[in-house]
Amino acid sequence: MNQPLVAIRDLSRAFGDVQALKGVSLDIGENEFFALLGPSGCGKTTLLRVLAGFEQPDSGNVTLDGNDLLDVPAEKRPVNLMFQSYALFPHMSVEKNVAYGLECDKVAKAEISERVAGVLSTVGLTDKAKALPNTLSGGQRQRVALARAIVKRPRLLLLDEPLSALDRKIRGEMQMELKRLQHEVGITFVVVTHDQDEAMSLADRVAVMNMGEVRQLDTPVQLYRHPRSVFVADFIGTSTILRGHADSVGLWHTEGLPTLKVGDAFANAIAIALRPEDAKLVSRTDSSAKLEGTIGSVFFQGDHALAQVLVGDQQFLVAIREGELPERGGEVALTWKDDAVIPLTAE
Amino acid sequence: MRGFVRTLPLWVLYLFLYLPIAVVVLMSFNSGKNPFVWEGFSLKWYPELLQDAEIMGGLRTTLIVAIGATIISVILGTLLAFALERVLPSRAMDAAATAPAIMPDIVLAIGLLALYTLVGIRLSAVSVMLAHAVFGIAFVAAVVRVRLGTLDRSLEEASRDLGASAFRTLRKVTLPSLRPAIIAGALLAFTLSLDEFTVAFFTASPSDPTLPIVIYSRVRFGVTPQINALATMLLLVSFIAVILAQRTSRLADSLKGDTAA
Amino acid sequence: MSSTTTQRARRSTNSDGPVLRFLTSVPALAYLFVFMAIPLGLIMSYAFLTAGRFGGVKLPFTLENIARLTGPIFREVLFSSIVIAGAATLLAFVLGFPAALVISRLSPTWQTVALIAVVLPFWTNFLIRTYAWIVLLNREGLLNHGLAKVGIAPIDVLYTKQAVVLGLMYAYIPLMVLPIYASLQRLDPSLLEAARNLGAGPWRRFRTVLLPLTLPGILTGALFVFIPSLGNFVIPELLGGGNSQMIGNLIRDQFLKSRDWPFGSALSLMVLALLVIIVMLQTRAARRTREWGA
Repeated sequence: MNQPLVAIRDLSRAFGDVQALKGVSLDIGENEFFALLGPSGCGKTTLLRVLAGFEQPDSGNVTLDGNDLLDVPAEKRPVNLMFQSYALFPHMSVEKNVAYGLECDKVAKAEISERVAGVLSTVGLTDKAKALPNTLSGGQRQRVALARAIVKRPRLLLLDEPLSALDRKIRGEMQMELKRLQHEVGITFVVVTHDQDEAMSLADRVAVMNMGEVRQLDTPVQLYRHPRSVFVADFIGTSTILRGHADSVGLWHTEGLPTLKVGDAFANAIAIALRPEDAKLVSRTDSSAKLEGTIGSVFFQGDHALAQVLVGDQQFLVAIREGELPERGGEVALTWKDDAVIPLTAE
Repeated sequence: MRGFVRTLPLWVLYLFLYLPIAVVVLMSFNSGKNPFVWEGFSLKWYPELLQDAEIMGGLRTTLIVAIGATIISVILGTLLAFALERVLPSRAMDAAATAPAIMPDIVLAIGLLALYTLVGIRLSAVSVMLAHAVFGIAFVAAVVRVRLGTLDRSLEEASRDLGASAFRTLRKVTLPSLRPAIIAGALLAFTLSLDEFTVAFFTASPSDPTLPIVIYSRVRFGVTPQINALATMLLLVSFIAVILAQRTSRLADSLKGDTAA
Repeated sequence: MSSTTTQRARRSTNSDGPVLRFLTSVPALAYLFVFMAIPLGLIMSYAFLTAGRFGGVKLPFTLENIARLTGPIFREVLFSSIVIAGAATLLAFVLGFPAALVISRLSPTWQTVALIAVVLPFWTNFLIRTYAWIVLLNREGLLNHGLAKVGIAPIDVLYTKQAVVLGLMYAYIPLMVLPIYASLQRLDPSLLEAARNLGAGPWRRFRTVLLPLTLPGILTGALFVFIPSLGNFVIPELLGGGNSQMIGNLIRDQFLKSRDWPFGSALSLMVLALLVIIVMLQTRAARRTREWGA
């Protein structure tokens, strides 16, 4: 991309013995919907707080629009944060909450009313302008928190686990809301979350983090179809992972299993991944059968079911979308298309 | 450095709080008679205290009052804590139990004087003792109540389930768990009574003053090295009592308004 | 926490018999009634009676004592008392609030230590603590000794109104710190971060977020400093010399010197009235804060 909006270089931060960030580098583009995804403790929240100005890194730098960001105090950065708990001021009405940031900037009163009214209408809360936060529902409170951050027209909007506090049904609605809003106001959004559904459905690009490092930075589709490490393959979606190695003739060796045919691209792989939806159950006599196994537990998920298939000591996961659900103990065989297997070159 | 500057207001407060105390303690070891000029280290004022009949008398009276008030406070205060927390919680009772803490002590003092005069109770150590118990009850109740509120009820329920009567359960399960809080409350009530001046001033017999009253009459005439020594002793006793109370009952947790001690 | 308490209360009323109920609540309440409520009632009624010859009271009922409260001499004392007690309260707030803020940001173990250290002086004899200031501020005292070493002439701080304010503030400041600290504990820290993120500097954060949300604690602290200050007679006497007559001195004089009990009671009634006003303000602030869900 041309000049990124935010350039993060070699950011490191330790808390006592724990290294929260280990030399993290990444670029965030203008008008992008970006996500930081990872399990708790991976460093994503620390990174967020460094961007917001609540933490200083031990080393590394961050530029915004080409200017050094770390030297700018938190209250003066053109970066706004939507807190996980929303952090709405309980003693102020919705209006006053939203106006707060503008008042700090000493914007003229008339302009404040105009902009506040405008943003309240964008999030659909005009009729709640005078209400107090504790009279609002979770979804409404989130919209106020968003409005409060957006009204300042920041260069960067950071969202900390935006959907985690919401009920399932509202979550779906809010997801669409957030996507729509981001397009409408044209601000760069950075979402921090541990929920891959959230990240994958909202973001243009996702940085998957673990233990203070960025493991893979890609679009959601790429992350899903082409994970490069065992961690990412395991974290994003479900898969069966087989550790082993490839030989010189394109065969994959995993202990306890017969050799499997893979391509040349697997020379450097330390493991292979197979998505459940790419695997199929067939009868043992079928010509396409690659491995024989027995059915273990079957988990019904609504639109599909996940069946565990035990092949020797190895457990495979197979998605079943039609037909009868198999029974525990059933003797079956597995098959898949040769090119459906994904090479993983790192842990 | 930055960390120090951030905590500066707290250090200023501590300086303010402890400087006068430090000065008094320091000067109690002053060998010179002039309480303002340091002339060398000496312990001589301390034994002199023991010779002072008025001070020893005051000390005796104060101890009688404090111990008596503490006993009353512990018994009634613990009962009150039970009443508030378990038996009959109500806003009105809450208010009654905290009232002694908010009541200006001079108003309580003159009120009790009025009561004693009306009923014809002679002023003595006992009249002071009864007065101090009013505060003591409130404090013990407050401390015990917090502990009571965090007790695991299932222990008592298990005891009942195993066949023990309510009374036995109280004796063998509940009260032992409350012991630290009761001790802390007792220490606080004791210290409070030890140091209390205003109410004692109005309710004590002129011929049988408590120690604070003795100190008051002495101080009015000026500062003397003996007073420094006496003050230091009293400070020591109070400090030890509060720290003990903290150790036995994690007092600060109730100060913090704890939810889970 | 409160919901667990009500749950427990509901469960207990079935298992404990009426005898137990009587035994636990009555003795303490009876004691407090006799030794607190009745004295209070006596004072409130004495305010409306006439002074007896050698102290005590007698009929008839009269409003004369209340009337005297509005007289010029007393108004002077009332005004000066409120100013002095008010100054002590304000100073206690100015020193106490930042200190409480610092404590609330320490790690939990240090918070305990810090709190005990603040409260410890309070549990000592306040005569001694007042006396310590005499030692410090006296003409020949430590302060002036120190100043002399630097070449400044001795200041006469003792026996002035300022010394009284200082002494009162010193006596009660721990009681300002504790409730403010408790209020700060209940404050959601992300609110201050949000304010900062939206561009608020430290003063604005204090004015628009900290102050309104800790107001109940501040008012409780004010209560615990202002009211006892009004009723204190030792500190004005020892540190103020003859210069500062406060309500506390007046009350004590009525009861022990002039033997005009009704007037003394009327004065106490005035203090109680001020107490009630502040308590009402505090209750209202606390209720509003609860309504905000803060």
